[in-house]
Amino acid sequence: MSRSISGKYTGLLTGIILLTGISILLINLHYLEDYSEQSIHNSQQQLDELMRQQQMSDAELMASTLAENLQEAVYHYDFSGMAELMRGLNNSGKLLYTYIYDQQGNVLHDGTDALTHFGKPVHQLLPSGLGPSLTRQVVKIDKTIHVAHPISSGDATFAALRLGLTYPRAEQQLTKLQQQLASDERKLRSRILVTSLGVIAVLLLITTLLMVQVSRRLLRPIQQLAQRCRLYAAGDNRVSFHLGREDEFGELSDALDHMKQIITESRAEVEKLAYLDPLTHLPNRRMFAEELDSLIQWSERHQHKLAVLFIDLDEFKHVNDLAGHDVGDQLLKMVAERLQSLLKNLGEEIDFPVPESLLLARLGGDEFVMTLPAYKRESDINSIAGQIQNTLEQDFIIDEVRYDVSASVGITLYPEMATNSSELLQQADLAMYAAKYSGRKRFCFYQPELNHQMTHHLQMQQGIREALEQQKLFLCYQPIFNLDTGRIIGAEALLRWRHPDKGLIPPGEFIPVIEKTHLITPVTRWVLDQAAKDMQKIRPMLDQFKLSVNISGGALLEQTVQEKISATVEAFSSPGHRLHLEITETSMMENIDDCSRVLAEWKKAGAAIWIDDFGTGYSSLNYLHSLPIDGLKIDKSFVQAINPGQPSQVIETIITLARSLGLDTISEGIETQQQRQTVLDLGSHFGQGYLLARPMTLDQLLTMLKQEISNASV
Amino acid sequence: MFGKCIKLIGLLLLAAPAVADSLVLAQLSDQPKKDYKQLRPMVKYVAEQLHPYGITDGEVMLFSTRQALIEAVRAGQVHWITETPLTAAYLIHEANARPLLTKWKNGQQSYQTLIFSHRDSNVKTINDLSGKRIAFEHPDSFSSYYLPRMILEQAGMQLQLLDSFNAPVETGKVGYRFSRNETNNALWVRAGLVEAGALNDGDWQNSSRVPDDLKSEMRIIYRSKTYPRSLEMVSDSLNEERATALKQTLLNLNNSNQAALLHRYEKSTGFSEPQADLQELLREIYHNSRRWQP
Repeated sequence: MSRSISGKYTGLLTGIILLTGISILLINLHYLEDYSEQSIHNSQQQLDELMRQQQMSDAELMASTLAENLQEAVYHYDFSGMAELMRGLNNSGKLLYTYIYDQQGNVLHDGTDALTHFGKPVHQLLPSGLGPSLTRQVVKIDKTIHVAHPISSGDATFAALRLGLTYPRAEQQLTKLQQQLASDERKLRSRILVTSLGVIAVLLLITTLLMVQVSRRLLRPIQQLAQRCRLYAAGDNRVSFHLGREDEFGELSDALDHMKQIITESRAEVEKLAYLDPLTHLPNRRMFAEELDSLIQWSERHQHKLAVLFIDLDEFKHVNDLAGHDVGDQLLKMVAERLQSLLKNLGEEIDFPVPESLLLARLGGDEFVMTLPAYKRESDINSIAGQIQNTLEQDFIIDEVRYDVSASVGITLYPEMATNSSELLQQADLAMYAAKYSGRKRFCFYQPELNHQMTHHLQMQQGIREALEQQKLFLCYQPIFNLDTGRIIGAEALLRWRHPDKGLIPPGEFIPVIEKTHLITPVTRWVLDQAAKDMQKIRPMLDQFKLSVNISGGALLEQTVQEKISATVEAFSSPGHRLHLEITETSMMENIDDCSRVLAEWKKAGAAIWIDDFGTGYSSLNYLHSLPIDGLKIDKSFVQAINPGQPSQVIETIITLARSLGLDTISEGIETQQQRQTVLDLGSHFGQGYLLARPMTLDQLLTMLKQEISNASV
Repeated sequence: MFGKCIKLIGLLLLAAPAVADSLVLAQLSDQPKKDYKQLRPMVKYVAEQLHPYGITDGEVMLFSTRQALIEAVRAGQVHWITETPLTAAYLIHEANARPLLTKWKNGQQSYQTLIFSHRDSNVKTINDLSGKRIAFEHPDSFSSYYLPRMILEQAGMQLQLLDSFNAPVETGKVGYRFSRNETNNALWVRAGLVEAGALNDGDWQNSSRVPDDLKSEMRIIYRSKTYPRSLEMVSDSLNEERATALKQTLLNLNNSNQAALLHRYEKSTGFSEPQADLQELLREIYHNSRRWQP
């Protein structure tokens, strides 16, 4: 109450009334007191005066009567008569003295039986200032009235009378009256006080009640609006704030209605944001998880099967990198549209329990997930996965540019593999990963073994990531020799990983992991950096040293790697010191247009381009011709297939091809003298292999180079 | 005279007129109201007692002058008189009344006159009063006028009535003035207005009349013979039988049987037979008194 507006206003008004009431009361009491004091004072004076006059006239009358009565007794010296008359005085006052004295002022009678003062001069007995007056005289001294009165017969005054009188009772009554007046005044004051306080209290009570009522009535619309606000906040969208009033509350209610409309809209927007992917307007991960849960329940109830397909675009990153995010976003929209359209078609065959729009979701990035409830056979899923790949493999044309994208699909099945949504999604993700790992553009069903494989794979990835951070990677160099002279012309940088627990990890185990993951970019950059550093040490030893670095297909199209290579090549680009980049033919062929452009750039920057493991993959001779290649490295499988007495036709063909294209060749994997001799005989003048030199550390390489220099100088 | 008496009664007493069988008690009075109250219960009582003698009622008659009383007694309107020896002397000699009993008025069977002077004065005997002044009470007073005057004259002094205190007293005479009451008598002496005063011994002893401290300043210089305090008399209009019955009734009253009644009757305490020399005393009083009448 006290914190409410009505409480505050009521309190305020109550306070004002209280203050006003008390102030008026105090002022009234003050003036009443003044008035009473004045009035008591005045009436006291008047009463005093009145009483004085009354007493004086009373005393005079008494004296005159007594004098009249005494006349005879005095004349006859009738002392007892005088005494009797004096004693017989009946008066309201108290007689202090009575003296009868003769013309000489001597006492004739003093009122005593024994006539004690007879003959004495009366003035000796009187209070000072009073004498033996023979005429009428009345004075009041203090509270005593002194009267003198002649005793005469006719015109002759033969004696006089003096009386001293007080009126104690009257004085007492006057005092009592004054006290009574004062007490009446006090009573009046307290009555006024009590009455006024009572009136103020009643007034306050009435005001408070009235204010409470009035403010309740006034504030009722606010309470109604507050109540409706609470209802609305609690989620009741049907609430209307309209009050049907035209006053300020009406204005407020209209404003609230307007606000409600805006809030409702933004709430819908927020809901959409919360549940829908803003780019594709597909359900997001959150909504998908809920939908999947309800589909699982539905499937459980109806004894249906359910498949979850995890779709991840291959190489989407390159689109973003090369064409920018706007194009990437547009492509994702188109992917969504194609998948939706696919689902729509499927909906005509399969009787989905929910709208098709709920069966496809974008989890983020290039990851989509599709749910296929109520499928009949696993082969149906195979078919659908194939359709997904097909529809996504078709070119995307954005701003008249053609983009080539593929998808890897991971599939898991309910209820065979899992019965809850998070597990199903995890399995599908893993299966997708396995598909991607096994070479992309594939689909893969989840199997429990995948767990182990992928765990190993993931551990490996993690290990490499840590090795990169902790400098556990290092480069070994396998020298490349001029087979004619037997002298080192360069070396191939080979990546090595020394695991803190497991020691040296075989390159066959971790290199593929790097190549199939995004680790390829940082690792390639590291290799380039390290090679550049090492080259600083090698360069003084051997002029024209050719350092060779392997560039994986994955890194080939990575823009940051492209730039890094360009920078490194430029740093190398002094006459005679060329950076040789080895690229497998398969990775070149996968993206021939882009590859050609990139290689041309590198070449222009000063790099030499070699095709690694030539002959093992698929390559179009036409493309080979158009690429800016400096040489071919003959795969070691061909070299090691050399048998004594048997013609090495493949090697010969390759060398012939290279020669015809104006390219150099290097033979890899030379392990025997015979192999060395054979390739040399066939016309391949450069080679590498265990026979010539095993891969070695930089220090070993430097030592070897030093030795060769010293041998040469001998 | 008769009319005067009736008028007095009619005015003051509202009494029924006397009828033949009413017993009428009379007295001189200058305070009729007081005296009526004092006398009435006694006359009512006695009338009741005398019922066997044909008395049907008792009445009181008061007279302002001695002459009026005398005439009423002569006229037979009054049967019973209670008075001082002086008045009694007149009634006996001029109205044929006869004394019946002595009344112990104020508890006194008899009294005497005292002549006193101020203790400080040179007046130590009545002979010292020659050329001096004396205060008497009232011309009708037996003890305070008649008797002292008689004593002074028998002592060979002449008395002179003074108009004022300033009036000179002739050589060899004693000046006198009437003081109106016993108290004034003593006060005049004390105030030095007169050299001596005369009072009967009953008043002297009564301190309400002569206050003790006043009395102590006085010296008694003469004491007279004793006289009956008050006398009950009957007129000859009361027959012998009724007079005897009256006498007997009064003698029967004493303080043990009718104290209240007696007390109201001028504070008397009883009655007794008159003293033997009463007639002689009264005759002497009567004759001396007549000489002084103006």
